[in-house]
Amino acid sequence: MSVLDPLTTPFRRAFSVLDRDRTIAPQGFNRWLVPPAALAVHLSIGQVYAFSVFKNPLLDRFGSSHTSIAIIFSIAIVMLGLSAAFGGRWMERNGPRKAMALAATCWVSGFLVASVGVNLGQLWIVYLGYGFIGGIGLGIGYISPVSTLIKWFPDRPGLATGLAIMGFGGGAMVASPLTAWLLGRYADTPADAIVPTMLTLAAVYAVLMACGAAVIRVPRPGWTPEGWVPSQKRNAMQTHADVRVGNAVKTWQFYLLWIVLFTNVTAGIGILEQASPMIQDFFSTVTPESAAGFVGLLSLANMAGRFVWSSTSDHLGRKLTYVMYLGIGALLYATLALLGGGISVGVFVVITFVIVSFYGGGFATVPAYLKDLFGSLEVGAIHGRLLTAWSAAGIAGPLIVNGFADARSAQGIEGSALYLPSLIVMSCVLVVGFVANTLVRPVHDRHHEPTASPVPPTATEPVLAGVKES
Amino acid sequence: MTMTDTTSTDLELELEFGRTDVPLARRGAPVRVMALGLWGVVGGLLAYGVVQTALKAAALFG
Repeated sequence: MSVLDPLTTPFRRAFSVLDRDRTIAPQGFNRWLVPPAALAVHLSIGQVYAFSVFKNPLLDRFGSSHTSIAIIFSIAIVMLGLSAAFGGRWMERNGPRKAMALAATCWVSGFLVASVGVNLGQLWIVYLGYGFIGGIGLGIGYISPVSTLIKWFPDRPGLATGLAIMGFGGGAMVASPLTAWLLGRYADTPADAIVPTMLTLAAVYAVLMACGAAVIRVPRPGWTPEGWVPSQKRNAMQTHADVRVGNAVKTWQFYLLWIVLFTNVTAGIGILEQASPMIQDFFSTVTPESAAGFVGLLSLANMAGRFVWSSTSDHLGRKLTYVMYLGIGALLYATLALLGGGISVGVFVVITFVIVSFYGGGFATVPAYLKDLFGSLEVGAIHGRLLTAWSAAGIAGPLIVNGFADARSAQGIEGSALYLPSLIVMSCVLVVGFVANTLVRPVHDRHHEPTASPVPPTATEPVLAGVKES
Repeated sequence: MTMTDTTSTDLELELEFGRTDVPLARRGAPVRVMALGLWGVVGGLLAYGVVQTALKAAALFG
């Protein structure tokens, strides 16, 4: 016994509430009580996509360049990818509640530290706070509820991951008007209202994420939904074995899926990054106000696609769903490139709506695809590693679109022709992803973990109305 | 351990709620209430976001 034990024991006891063992659901726990915990976390961290609302006030506050303010967001996204990649195994070992608590601590601390930076007029402190510390919260928060939901919904993993990741898309839709409202309310100018707005958001997200961490439950070992029998089809894409993250990253299937996610995200960003100027360049009749409405419509497409397409993948199969995302996506991009400004606004809106819904769907379906190939044992950690594709695409997508648009603009080209090369490149990028997806095959048995003796599934799953906790 | 192993369930609930003198069904009630409340909160937030965004998107057709 250490001399420090009397001092540390109360803390250890207090923090033991975060332990994985304390989150094991009691017998008969209704699995539909788990998704709101995931949504609470993803709605909170989804704020990062509404960061642009802070951009102009920060420019006014610091009097710096657009690039120096944009770096805050870039650091956050890079840290998201890195923390998801390296924190995945820790998350699987320690359970979702501890991971959610860490994510909440980092995300909320990020806001607090950033508000100190804004108050002192020190941009580097904002980089450290929102970008670095907050970015760690983003990565851990993004992956923490996903694997838990997959374990609760082995029969409908696409629905489960769609539910959680829909929250990330929805988070920006909530944060954007809320932040704009707070910035307009706390002071005469938005620049003076940044600090109280950040502190308010920090408080809201602290409560919301803490509630998510309190509610989250993991299923008991061996639990399966009542009446669910895993498919026993030979050569099916869905495995009944588990692959650990260390082995998963040694398989070519992992890298094929990395390419699939990278291409899907790159192509989606191609539209999202330039949505407002693009529709105005395609159609001279579209005003900036209407273009803002178009951006809003794409946000809805992004969120809806996450839930609708990911849920649909439970019926279509993951591989066929990605054939749709990448194949039809490539055709739609090619259609935009071929027809240019010769199409009506309505057709343009419909095409881009579908493309962005595929972008959202690609994000939400990939954890279920990983579960099919690698099992659910360390799917959160494997998902974390795969998210490095997101960080890479976040750099590649805007570079392609902006690079071509700037070059064409310098040549004096205007209108829809500005985007012709980038639309063609995006179509080709999706074809690469399409080919990668068609090459995906079930993971070889040698990567599987040795199977233990099967546990008889005797759990009951009561309906929500008649929830039974005992 | 199987799902019918109620001994460990009792232990977990005792750890969770610190009580053994209350029927198991009632001991799980706080989690159920919190989760249902959280469904309401996240559902309300999502509805708020969708309505706000839909109003913004309406400008496209206005």
